[in-house]
Amino acid sequence: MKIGLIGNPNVGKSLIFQQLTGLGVEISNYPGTTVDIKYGSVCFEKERLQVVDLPGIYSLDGSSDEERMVRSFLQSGAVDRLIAVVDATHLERNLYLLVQVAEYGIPTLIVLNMTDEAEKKGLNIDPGKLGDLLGIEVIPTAAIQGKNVEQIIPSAIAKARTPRIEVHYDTHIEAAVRSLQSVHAIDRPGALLALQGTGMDESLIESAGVLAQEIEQRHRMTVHQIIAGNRHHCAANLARQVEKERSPGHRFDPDRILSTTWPGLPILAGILILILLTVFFIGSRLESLIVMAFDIYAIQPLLSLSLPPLAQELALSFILALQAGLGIAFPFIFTFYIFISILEDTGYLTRAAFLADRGMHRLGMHGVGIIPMVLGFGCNVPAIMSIRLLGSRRERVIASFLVTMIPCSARSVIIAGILASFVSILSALSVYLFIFVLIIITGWFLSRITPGEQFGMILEMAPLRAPRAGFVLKKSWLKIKEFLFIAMPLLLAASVVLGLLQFYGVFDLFEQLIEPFSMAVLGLPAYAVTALIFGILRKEMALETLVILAGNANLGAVLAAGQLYTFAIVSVLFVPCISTIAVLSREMGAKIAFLVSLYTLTLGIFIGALINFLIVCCVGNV
Amino acid sequence: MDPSVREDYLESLCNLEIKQGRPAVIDEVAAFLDRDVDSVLKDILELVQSGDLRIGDDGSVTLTANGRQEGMRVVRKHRILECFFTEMLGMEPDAASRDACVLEHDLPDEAVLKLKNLIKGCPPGKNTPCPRRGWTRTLPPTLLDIEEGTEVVVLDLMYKGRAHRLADLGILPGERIVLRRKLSNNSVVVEVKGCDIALSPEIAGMVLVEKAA
Repeated sequence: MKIGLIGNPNVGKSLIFQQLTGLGVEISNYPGTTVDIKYGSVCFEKERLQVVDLPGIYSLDGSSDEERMVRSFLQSGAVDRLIAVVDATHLERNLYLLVQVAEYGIPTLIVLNMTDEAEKKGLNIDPGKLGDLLGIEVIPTAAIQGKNVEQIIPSAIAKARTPRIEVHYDTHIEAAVRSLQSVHAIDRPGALLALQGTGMDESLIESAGVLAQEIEQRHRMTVHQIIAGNRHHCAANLARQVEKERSPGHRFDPDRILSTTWPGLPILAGILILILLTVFFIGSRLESLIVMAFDIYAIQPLLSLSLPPLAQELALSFILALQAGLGIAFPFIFTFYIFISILEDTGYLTRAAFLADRGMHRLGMHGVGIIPMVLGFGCNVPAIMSIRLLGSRRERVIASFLVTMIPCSARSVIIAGILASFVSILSALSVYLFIFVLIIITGWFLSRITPGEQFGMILEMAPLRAPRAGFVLKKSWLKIKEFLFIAMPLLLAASVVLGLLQFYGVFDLFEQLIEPFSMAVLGLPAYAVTALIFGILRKEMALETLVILAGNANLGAVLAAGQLYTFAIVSVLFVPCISTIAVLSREMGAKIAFLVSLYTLTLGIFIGALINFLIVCCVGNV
Repeated sequence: MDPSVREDYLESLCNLEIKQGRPAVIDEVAAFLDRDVDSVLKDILELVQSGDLRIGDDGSVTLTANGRQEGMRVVRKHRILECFFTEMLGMEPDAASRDACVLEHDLPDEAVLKLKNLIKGCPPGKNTPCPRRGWTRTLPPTLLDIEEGTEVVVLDLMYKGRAHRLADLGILPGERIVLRRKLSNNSVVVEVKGCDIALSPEIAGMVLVEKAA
């Protein structure tokens, strides 16, 4: 038996799914995080049930990916029961979706979630009455406390019934539906969709289009607006009948501070900077521990084994890849995710998106674009994964370019490790400034040439809640798992390939060939270019390889300040790391991944050459 | 000669004169109207007889006081109609100009004057296509024009086709909403059905509203 979980974004659906199946699925206070359909199974009375977590949606009629996905899932007839999760604090808006779901005639159970929060707000909802009106069973729950969650599956099997509620549409709509149904073999939801221009059958869409035009002329509203109005009316009616004594107890509203220009914007900037600094300091401490542990407990024992050279090279590449993956994943990405999860769960992220809307417009995106940009400082991989949150392809393309240019924590390690240690703190900061200017120029430029329409932000502000440590950790853990799952195999493969190339002397050959070019254009010795190439594997490996190849940990003794500066800038821009490229091609397609890599490569070399040229001109040959 | 043909000639000559800053010659008139020179010459001679035009020795066509007055009257009507079609009815500029060309001959002056009062600020005396921005329209205010904390009723949405998500969230004609927050950059937060929804300026600017009673 297949059971589908359906509901608005941010109603605790994913949390309920997690509690039902015990499977790790992320819960989120950010609307629309469950983009993929997630499956899990439950055993009940010796029967295996499949539970499907559908993405959160506001309506079944829209054209967004999520809405289409859920619609085709309901139309496919593959689902036997639906569990409709309804947020008691926003009953009316949630019932709007429910009356649409009811039209599909699937046995449904209602889970009235967040009753605890509703009570706090002075909202009293009568679940029995709601059930009577809809003709289905209603279970009041508080998923965050686990209250009544255990009743959901047994009730879904025993008590789910087809909802009785039917929306009364405008007479013209009803007439159009009837006339469509008399000519075409189609059900009521199908006819309603066809009137709004959605459907597969061309002749149906054509005749529906004629009817719709007539209705629109008479009403001076689109068919969708009329239908939506009727449904909202029905939902409002239902909500009015079951909500008892609403006492609007006005408490202090944190949004009076958080979502204002002053002091909201400075608070936003402060929070972001604080997170970045904390992650950077915690991360670099932890990372050096992990890297050291690998050196002592894996690499040195391996080298002392004195294996045959080829085997040793392969084993070494393998360990290096593990070191790279874990050295980045846990110290930087995991700590960063903890902070981001807190921002998500408290609902602050939606305020950040609101505040950043205008600034992001300049870069060709809207407010939600701040999320990938901020994530990018931790690691580009999750940042690229989060560009799905952006509505249009145009915005996603722009975001892919900009995110890959953001100095992630690994690149910060290079900047700090090379410039702050051997040149000066100011020069390290100037690299950041330089990159930000490049990002702004790129965004400005892309927003003018990228095809597609810009459509602004329509974003529900998540209610502010206190985060819970358990959920935050669990969620960060799930995200880090996703990262390891994607990045690790690639890191291993790439590392082994590089190891083999080095073993067969390809790099020596390469260095001989590249030397004239690298000296002339970038002013860098050939081994620095090799180090840059290793940086593709894991960005701060560029630094480590440079140290190894230079044969001196005190880089300042080997390379001039200008060379170090060029190296830092080029390695920060250059090509994004292999994990980023992989995720990028999975999310946006190989073409965009290629273009982004090409752009950053060209930009890196160009800027590097420019800086080298300036240094040679102004300071004289180094 | 049909009165509408006469009006078209006088209007075109006014427009040409404004555009070039000097009286037009017959060839230019023919090119402007996309007709052959002979038939244009025949019509123009007819208009000279009725006292609307004068032909100079160099072939230039000058409007008489009477002809200019008549021509400018049609030009103004055309402009007002075109503005009305593009700004108030949201028609494409090309279609608006085409339809204005038809209506300018039949619509009584008084009706056009009333239209002009409706769309205040129709630019006088400039022979340019109606500018799309910058006039004070007597359209209802949008979400961008009201104060924080005001309760409003949604009247209508511009660009209806793109407003699917807005309708699903409850931002529909007739719905009462509260403007919770307006930033200096015009991003807004509105409260609809107990939920806070953040909107970009360009979206807020398409929601026409009226203060709730």
